[in-house]
Amino acid sequence: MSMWVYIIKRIIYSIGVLFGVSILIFIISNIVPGDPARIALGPRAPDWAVKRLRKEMNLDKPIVERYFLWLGNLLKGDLGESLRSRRPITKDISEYLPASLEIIALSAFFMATIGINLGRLSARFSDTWLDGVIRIVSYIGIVTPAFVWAILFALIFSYLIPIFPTTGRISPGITPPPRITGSYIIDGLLTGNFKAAFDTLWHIILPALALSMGGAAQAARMTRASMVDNAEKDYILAAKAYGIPYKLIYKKLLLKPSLIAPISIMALDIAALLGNAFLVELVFLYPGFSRYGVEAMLHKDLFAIISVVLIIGVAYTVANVVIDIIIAYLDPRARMGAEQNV
Amino acid sequence: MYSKSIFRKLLVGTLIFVSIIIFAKYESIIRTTEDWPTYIDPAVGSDFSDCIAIVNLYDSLVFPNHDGTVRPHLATHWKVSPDGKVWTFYLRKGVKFHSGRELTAEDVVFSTKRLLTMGEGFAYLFEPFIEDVVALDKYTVQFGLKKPCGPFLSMLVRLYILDKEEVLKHIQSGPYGKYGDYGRKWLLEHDAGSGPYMVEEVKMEEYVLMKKFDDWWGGWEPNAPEYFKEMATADPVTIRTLVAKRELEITDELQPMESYEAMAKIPGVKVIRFVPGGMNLNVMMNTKKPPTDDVHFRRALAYATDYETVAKKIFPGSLVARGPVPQTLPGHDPTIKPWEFNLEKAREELKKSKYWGKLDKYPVTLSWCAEVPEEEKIALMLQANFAKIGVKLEITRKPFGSMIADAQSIETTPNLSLIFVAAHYMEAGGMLATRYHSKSTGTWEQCEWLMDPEIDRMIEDALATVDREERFKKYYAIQRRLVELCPTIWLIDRAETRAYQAEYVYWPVAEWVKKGEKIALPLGYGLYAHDMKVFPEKRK
Repeated sequence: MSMWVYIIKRIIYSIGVLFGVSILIFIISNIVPGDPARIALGPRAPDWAVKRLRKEMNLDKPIVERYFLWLGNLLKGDLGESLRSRRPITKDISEYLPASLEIIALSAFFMATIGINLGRLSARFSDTWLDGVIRIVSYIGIVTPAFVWAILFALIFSYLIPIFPTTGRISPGITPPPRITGSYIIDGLLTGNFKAAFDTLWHIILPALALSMGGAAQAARMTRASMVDNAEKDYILAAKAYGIPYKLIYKKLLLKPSLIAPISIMALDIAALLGNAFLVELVFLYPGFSRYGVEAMLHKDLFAIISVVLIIGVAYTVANVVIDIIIAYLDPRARMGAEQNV
Repeated sequence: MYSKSIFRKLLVGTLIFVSIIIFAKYESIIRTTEDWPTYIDPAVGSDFSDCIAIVNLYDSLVFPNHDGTVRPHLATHWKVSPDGKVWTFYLRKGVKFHSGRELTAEDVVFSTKRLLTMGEGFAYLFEPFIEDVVALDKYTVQFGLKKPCGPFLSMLVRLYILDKEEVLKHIQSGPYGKYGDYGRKWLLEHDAGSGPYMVEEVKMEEYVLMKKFDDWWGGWEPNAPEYFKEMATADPVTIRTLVAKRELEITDELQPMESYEAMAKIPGVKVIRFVPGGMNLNVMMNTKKPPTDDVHFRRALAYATDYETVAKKIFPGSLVARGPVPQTLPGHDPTIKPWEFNLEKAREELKKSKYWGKLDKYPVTLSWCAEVPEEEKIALMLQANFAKIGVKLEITRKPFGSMIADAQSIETTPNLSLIFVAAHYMEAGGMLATRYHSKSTGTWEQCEWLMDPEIDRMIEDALATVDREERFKKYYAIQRRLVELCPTIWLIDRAETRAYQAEYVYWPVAEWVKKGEKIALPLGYGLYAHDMKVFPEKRK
């Protein structure tokens, strides 16, 4: 019970942080030079049209009043209208966010399976040739930017061996499933449109793989380091001395605590993908949230910028809470610490 | 063991997906790429990407020929009053909108008023001229102008006609009184046009898919594409992969040169370069700020510029500029010769300037546009050449937004601004007015701050001349006068480069290029899908 109180407390603190972020980003995006209305309408638009748009956007009002008007609308679920797409931002986000979350979820799956398994292998065969190979592969994974992987994968698996599609979210000619969650995969499965679900999954494999390479490589190194470190600890030696079967020691006593560090880092990496996937989304012409955010920034799409930053802030906050929960599950000391702190 | 089973499962899954997925293909399709966003509402869009979609979805009263002239389109004929202020157009009967409704003069009136009220897109072309527009009968529409406008027909290429009833059916709340939002939100993803193609699907940030409108009044040739898809451009590797996989028929013009070279090696793919008319690269000189306020100093800089290097190395395929108007634009004076790169003459001009002997006290400032990386090469080349005649050039890289802000006053406008300018319509008058009339000072299109009353008068007089031949003579006189004043270093008329699938696509622009014909088409019309042909059986 006290663990839940701790988590609720964390969530309340996080709301405070998000409120601060909203003030900060609102001020920064409003004081950056350049008139958003003029940029939206173009340099040749008559002044009266620019003035009208400024009025529509409340840009003619003082910044404090603008902030509270925006906050009021936010609480009503209205994020404003995008100057670039000319649509309500909620509509834009409801399209792009699920698209990105699909990639991120698959990327997280790749990160965890590839990263942890490589780390386990490396630790199991530490200081052998296999460990050396995995070390080199991991270093390459860490130092190579995701967009380079994206280009490489597109060249190999889309051009040289054309088994994956090059661009887009779904093949032309395949009707996307009716909207329930916004995720074509989930909606396709829920509505029985398996063709659309599989086709979407097929489209996101390469981008997800490209995004996961860095995180997976990092997780592999961290898992290995933690496992090798823990394997030398007294409680493992004691367990071995008591004759506890190796499988049990390995699974219950060695692996679980060794996953704390890689999982913490992976969760933050995954949250960061929401904003960092821009180049990969560009390579695969994927209509994702990250690309939307960067385009909004380049075009000074005021309300879209603020909305994107806030959502990324929410993603980080959620990631942190999730990390706390996972760590509490994996590490009894964390649970006990939380209980003492409450 | 655990990891092995995971990888095995992944591999099996992959094979299952390969066997399950059937990629549906549109066989008769032309796909092209362009920079996103694409606004398909003709009262909103005016950029390249917008124009490609709009010209395929909507019809206009007149249609551009590739030599820069216009021909009847929705209007079969027209007449103009002797004072050049009243233009009457007679509409083609039986033209159907995509909704099935017949297009009438009321739709022309509605579309014009909608454009002028919203003030976006190409409204800036018509706003200074159109006083009123009325439907005289079902098939006759009359424009009353505030002042005579010689190139009015050329401008009308950009007045696209919408289905009034269809738009009114879809208005939502907005700032335009009883017209609400004038259908703006709906028209972001739908069309209300009568053009040869109609919207099948719009995917924001991805593509606009258009389907052939079988009842188009102009009829169809065999092998015309059933679908036309305008996609958002992507990373050069992606574009090359799409071309190699025959999933992209015509590329955009934004790819790096080495990418075009690579695509040219793909069997069946050809790369074409052409100067489409209407875009030139300028070094605009602030004529009100020392030392570029001195005409001899400006001429010295013009002589110290290596035009050939820019045209051949930095923007290959481009033409060395011959004066302020691009050579393919109707109304360009063919007698104007390009400036020569001659450091000796540059020094002679410099000696005549009032800044001779004190050049070190007057460094020259230059801003180049951060969004066009090639401009840095030009800036550095100018710096090196100017140094040879004793002029110090201080270079600043600026985002275009900042350059627009700088252009708002004489003091903040640098001595030199490196900027591309595109013609608003296919006639010299438009470019001369926006580039050199005093009314355009304070905008990025005139960083020269010329403010020359004689040039203003000459431009106004030319634009008010209805007779084309006479008007062109007046354009020539303005160009010659501008060359004397030398407010600008006119570098190049920019070439457009695109790769296309020559094996299975017939593209009129490529045919004109092959024949060596001049191409003077407004933005977007080079990708008019109705005139293309596609032969899917030849696609390998």
